[in-house]
Amino acid sequence: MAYGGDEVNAIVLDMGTYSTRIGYAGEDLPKVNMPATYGSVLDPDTGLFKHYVGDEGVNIYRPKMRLSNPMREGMIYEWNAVEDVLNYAFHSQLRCNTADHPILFTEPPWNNKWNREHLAEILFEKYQIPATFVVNNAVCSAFSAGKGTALVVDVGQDISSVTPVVDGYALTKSIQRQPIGMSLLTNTAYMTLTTPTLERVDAIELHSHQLISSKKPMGYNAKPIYTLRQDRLLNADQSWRNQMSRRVVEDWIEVCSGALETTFTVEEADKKGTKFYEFPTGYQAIFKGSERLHPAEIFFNSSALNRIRSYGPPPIAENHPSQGRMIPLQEALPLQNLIAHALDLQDIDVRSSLMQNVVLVGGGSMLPGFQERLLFEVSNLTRNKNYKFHIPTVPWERRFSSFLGGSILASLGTFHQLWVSREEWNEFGPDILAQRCK
Amino acid sequence: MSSGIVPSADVLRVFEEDLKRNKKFKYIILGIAKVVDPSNAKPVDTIVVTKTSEEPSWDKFLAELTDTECKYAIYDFAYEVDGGGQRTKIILITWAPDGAQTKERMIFASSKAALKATLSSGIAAEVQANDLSEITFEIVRAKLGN
Repeated sequence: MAYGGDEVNAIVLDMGTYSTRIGYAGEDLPKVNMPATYGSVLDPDTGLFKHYVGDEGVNIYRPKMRLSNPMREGMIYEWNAVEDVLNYAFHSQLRCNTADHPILFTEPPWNNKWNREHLAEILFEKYQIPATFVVNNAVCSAFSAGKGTALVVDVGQDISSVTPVVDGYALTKSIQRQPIGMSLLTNTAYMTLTTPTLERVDAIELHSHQLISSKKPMGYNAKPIYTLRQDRLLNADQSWRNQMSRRVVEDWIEVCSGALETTFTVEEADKKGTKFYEFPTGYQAIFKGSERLHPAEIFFNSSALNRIRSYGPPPIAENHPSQGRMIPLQEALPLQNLIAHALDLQDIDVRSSLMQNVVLVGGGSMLPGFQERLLFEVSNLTRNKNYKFHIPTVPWERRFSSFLGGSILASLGTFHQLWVSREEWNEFGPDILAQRCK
Repeated sequence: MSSGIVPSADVLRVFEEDLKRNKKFKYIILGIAKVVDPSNAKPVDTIVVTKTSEEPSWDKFLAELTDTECKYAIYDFAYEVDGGGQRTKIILITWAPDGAQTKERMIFASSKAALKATLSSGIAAEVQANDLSEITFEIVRAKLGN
């Protein structure tokens, strides 16, 4: 055995489409939580692109910096950029020598063999790690809720997915997923905010703070008076401006948005009360319940879904087919239908265990009212009141559920016998990963 | 995926001999504790027997399932079938209350497969419960059929 004992200080790598989480095993929170996106700027002297990563890499204005995302649906698509992300995390943030640390990485349950093995190969060859292990993030989420059997509903950045986990194994053939995630919620909220209403005759301007040089304090709903940094406006890349405006909308969602617990009507939603928000331009607005809660209807309501189909992400060409069924945006369904489909594929005895053990994770689980609404919808749809939802009570456990699960496993002394060591990787080749990491 | 934590030899012996064969106990409670591995003298997390009981009352058994501690239980469940007649079947319970630490819930959930594999035969049904509403007499009875 290459690794034994409790002294091994493993690193946990949990990459998503929204952010990358990296930290030491045994710790509750990741040491590094950085945006998944990276910036690139063409260096006129060398003719090469220089990459910028991390918060201070992408959120700071740089002339002509273009932002891209190397991740899609929780899977790596642009490998060169991922190395920049890893270099930054390991060398600038953790300041560790990766040759001294085994690395456990997480993967979505629909990840494919090629992707998994390629990441392991980079870790072994470029980062010289002594050992690795890969864990399925749906299984991690089920385990951290204390459940070996659970239906894991993950409302993530790009996609929502439903994964049945039975006795610690993800049933990959039954996975249901579709491109209705937090990113589409942001698009929808963006449309809401930039569409004039009777009370707000002008579209809200979603300039980010980096573009504003000065603003005046104004009263509620007064037209904002501010000056833009013209030099930045001229030289900023459109992709960077879009991304920064999206950050403004994401913050608005975090402060103001949520889901109504029952069928949406304007009257019911307005009973939820108003919320105040001040935008970076200094514009102050009060949002009614029906405005705040309507964007999240895309998760539950077919007619809301129909309206936003045209704003969805472009279809993705898959080089290596992923596991389970991916429903295209044009055929996307309300989330409760996805749950019903996943359950229909199971034997009747497993089905009732899964229904009673629904674990909700991902960004969507952070929205107030989301869990209650989903329970309401799925109970109505299937005419069954036996569903039981589990949601971690501590918000950071929801946000970092797969990191936390990986962190706990990787810190166990007994788990170390399971690692795939460098010697085994060299001797048996990439197939050992699938054999060991079941 | 599993944690690599396995049951001690004692777990199988108490289950097979005392509970299954000799019906000496009504239930066994299992926990996870550090046990010294004789091969290298290092303490290793292991599934161990923490309590055995002859108590026949189901309600008194439920009192063992506290709010903050994860445990496994193997219970010799007695019930009546339709049309009369007594049956007993052995059930495996994984108790992971919301009040327990996430680390503990994770360890118990990820070690259950190894426990089940060790017990292999004689487990008629499994119950996974996070609170007492998920482990009523009726729920367990319904899992066992006729």
